[in-house]
Amino acid sequence: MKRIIYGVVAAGLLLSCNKLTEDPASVTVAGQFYKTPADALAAVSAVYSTLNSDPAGDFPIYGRNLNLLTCNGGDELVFSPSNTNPDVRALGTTTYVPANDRVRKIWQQHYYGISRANVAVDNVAGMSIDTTLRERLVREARFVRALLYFNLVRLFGDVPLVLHDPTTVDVNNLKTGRTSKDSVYQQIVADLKEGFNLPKSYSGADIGRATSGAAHALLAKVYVTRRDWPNALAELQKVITAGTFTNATGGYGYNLFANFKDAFQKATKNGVEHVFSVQFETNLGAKNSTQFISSGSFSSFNPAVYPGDIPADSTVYQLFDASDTRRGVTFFTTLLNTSTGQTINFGAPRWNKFIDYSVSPLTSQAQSGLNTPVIRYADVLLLYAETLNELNGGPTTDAYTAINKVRTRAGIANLTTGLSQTAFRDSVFHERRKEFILEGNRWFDLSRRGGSYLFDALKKFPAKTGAALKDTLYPIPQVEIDLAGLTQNPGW
Amino acid sequence: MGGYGSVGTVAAVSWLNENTLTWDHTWQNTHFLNVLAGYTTQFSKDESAVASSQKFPNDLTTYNNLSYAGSAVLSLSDAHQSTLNSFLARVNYSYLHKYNITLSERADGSSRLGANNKWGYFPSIGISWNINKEDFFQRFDRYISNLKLRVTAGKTGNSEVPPYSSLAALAPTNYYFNNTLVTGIAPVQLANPDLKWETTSQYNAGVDLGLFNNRINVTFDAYYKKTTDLLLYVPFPLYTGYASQLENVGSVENKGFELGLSTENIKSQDFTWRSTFLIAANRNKVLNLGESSSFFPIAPTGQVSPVIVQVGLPVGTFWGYSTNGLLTAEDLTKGVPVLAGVSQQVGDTKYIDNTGDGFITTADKHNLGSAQPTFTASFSNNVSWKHFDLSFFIQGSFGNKLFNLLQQKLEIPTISLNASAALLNRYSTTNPNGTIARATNSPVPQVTDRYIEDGSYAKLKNITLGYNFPATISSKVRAKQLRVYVSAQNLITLTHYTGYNPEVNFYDNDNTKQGIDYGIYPATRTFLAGVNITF
Repeated sequence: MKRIIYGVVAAGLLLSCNKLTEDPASVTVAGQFYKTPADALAAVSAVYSTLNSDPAGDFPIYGRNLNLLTCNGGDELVFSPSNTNPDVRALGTTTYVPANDRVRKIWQQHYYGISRANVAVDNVAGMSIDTTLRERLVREARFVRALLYFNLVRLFGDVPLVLHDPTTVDVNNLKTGRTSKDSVYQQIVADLKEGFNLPKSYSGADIGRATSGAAHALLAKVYVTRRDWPNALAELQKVITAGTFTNATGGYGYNLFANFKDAFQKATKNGVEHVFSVQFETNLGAKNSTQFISSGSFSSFNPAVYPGDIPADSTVYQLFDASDTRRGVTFFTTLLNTSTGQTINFGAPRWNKFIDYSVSPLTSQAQSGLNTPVIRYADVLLLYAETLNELNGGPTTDAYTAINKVRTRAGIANLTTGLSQTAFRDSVFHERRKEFILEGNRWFDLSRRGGSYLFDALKKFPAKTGAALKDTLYPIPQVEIDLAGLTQNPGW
Repeated sequence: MGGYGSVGTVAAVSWLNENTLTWDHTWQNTHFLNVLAGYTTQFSKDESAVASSQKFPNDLTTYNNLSYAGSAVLSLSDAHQSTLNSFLARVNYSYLHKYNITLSERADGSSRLGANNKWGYFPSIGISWNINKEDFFQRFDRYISNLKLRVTAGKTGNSEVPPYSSLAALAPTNYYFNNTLVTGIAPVQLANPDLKWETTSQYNAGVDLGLFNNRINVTFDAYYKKTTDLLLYVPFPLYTGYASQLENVGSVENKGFELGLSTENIKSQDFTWRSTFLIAANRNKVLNLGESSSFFPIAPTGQVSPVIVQVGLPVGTFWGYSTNGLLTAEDLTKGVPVLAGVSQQVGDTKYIDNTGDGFITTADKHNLGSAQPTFTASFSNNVSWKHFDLSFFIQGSFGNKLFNLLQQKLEIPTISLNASAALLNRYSTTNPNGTIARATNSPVPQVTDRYIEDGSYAKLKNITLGYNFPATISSKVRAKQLRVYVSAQNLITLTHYTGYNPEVNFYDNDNTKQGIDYGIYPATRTFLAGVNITF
């Protein structure tokens, strides 16, 4: 009997040692986190990281995925023979449907980022850490959230306005309708106004974070999109470098690079023209370099091998005068293969803008370290020209000066003087098209003009004759309609 | 660029400690009692690490010395542990081995489940009656050598989910500031402290019958199983920032029967023939999915989910459009329903408007059958005649459907990937009688009845013919036994399925995606000839 008792006691000890409570060694859980300043920094870095990486290793938002909607979906690209994903080709040929996988992906990626921003805002705000750091980090998260909502509301119209992490796992309680565009914009404006208190600039290890200048510039773009011209003007004047224009008060020292190419080079990253850029770096094998956008531009010295993205047709190249330095930066037709000394003629122009010339050999674009610009000072200047033209019933001297600064840098002549309001507006949009080609801007410009503007531009391409008025907004992804009963956009 | 080398290690430790006390007692050879009580505790832990580097100048050292490389890749490591503690008790009582009853109860605690619901309780009862041991039955003894009736009812549990599934887990994700990598940490999973055991209640009634001195044995079982609190990854609306969450949702029933017939057909000195025939039919149905009535399991990138999980249907029912050939010019003039949102043209797939609303929308998708068979059967035989022996095994499944995802993928026209030769017969102005939809720049891989195929099959899985040399010959090589044989695996398959193997199940770790063929290595037909020598 004694032996039995000993046995029971011994085994009982084993049992009591073998606890059911999980204390994971390899995973951080919420209760352990959001405590130290390093935690707060990591929570906000995760918000930024939704801009340059995808959890599933797909193209990140600012590493080609947004471009698939705003460049292929616009009049810059159709599709490349090397596009194997039919959903990519559908975007280039305006034949996409609500079940399009890229439309779903961009929606998902934006809400990933918004979710992380919500988590960071809610958790970091309550942390007992240095106030200055805490407030800055919350404002940075709100800046990124505003950028993501701004993209979403422009792509899809009314979208669910989610501002907090779910507190339930009950799918039924997670259902929400689409929030009106106006309310989403109110939140965007509130988040960006909070960003006014961000630092003007950063040094050292913090370079690349959102600044107050970026908040003013993005807010200006929001107001322009809303055609709220007085507010747009006020914001633009805060960004434009004091002394360069009447009423300009900007203290950020922004300016255009002397060379257009410098806006897209590794060595001149986060330079004088970059108001806000998504940060990338050569990162061997870790799949969050600009590899997708860069190797989409160029992958081989063999002209028979098509990269992922090629210009829609020859008219895109012909937009540029031969004297326009942007042409040679945006496209190449011949390339020198330094390892053979041969110059290869590719015939039709191909994208050059996002080729990282610092990688060697040049075909290793998977190791690109370029940033993706979100707002450049050139954008600010052209928004300023547009706003002045709208506010004053026609172009003012400053409006001309602003657009001509961009033209001069490109090496082309000043814009014809004495243009009507309409003609000047068209000139600004034309300039924007050339300046920001392949930078994920064009579809937004086409759709914000409203009416049939987007539809008319697309119809000019044989591959896009199926374009219709409904294409001014993307369809709500089918999965959200199926799961949450969201309503679809008109015409879809 | 140089090569890439990687080397990894996995260390897994597990231990199990079982403690049971048994008390066995018999009274007057009449009452037989066996009582068992105990507990078991299990622990398992795995640790893994992978180191990689790239830009090797050559491949002489392969992965054996990563320092020959030009640059390191971020190393990875991982670790998990889990615990399962159980208490159990069981009582067996038999009266004269005629009437038997078993009662049991177990309590299982799993570390993998939510903090509020680690423990599950699973009782069972079983009763059996050996009728052939009854006195009144003795007169049938010549014919019926065994007759037993069995009834059982009980619950079982499942907690096979990855460790840490119920915790609010965070994961690292990178960004750069000032060209330097910084680590971000963000949630990837919501906490679900209520995650609990998936429980199956099972009721079974069976008969074991042995006839003519057990030359014919029949086993028959009928069962009903209801599984509740299913552990499922429930898809979330993407605007929540989470794609899915592991939850206990809904219930599923399985009911069916199994019949086994094992016979010694011929038994003589030179000739014996034994065979076993098994037939089983199971009906599976989703009873409840919580608040929603259906969901689509997450489909791989670039695909539309071909299956739906919907109340009233078998798990993983194929869900798509019915089609009726291709659109003709006449169809378009008549204004037949076409896919909403796309301008369909002559030569495009003609979808059937199930709802009759004049448009083809996702509402027109419907039940295209499921991978659940009407019945499955197998038949195995062993024949021996003098020194020869022949055995063969036939297996079949009847009434199940398969989704030929590989064919769907291969019928997407591309310029740079391999495609199916079926595309040669696509509609075009030069081939107006083509039966495959015309090539377009933006083909949408819709789930249609074209790719849902009858997966029924009968397969001769194995056939073996052998010859045993008589002892007079085998003794010459000093062998106790000398046998030569030829055998073939997968010799004959009868099926209408056009893919490589009707037994395909690409997503075999996911019950919601059964019967999908996304290309697996086909079953090989193997021929073997051999000699067995026993000394």
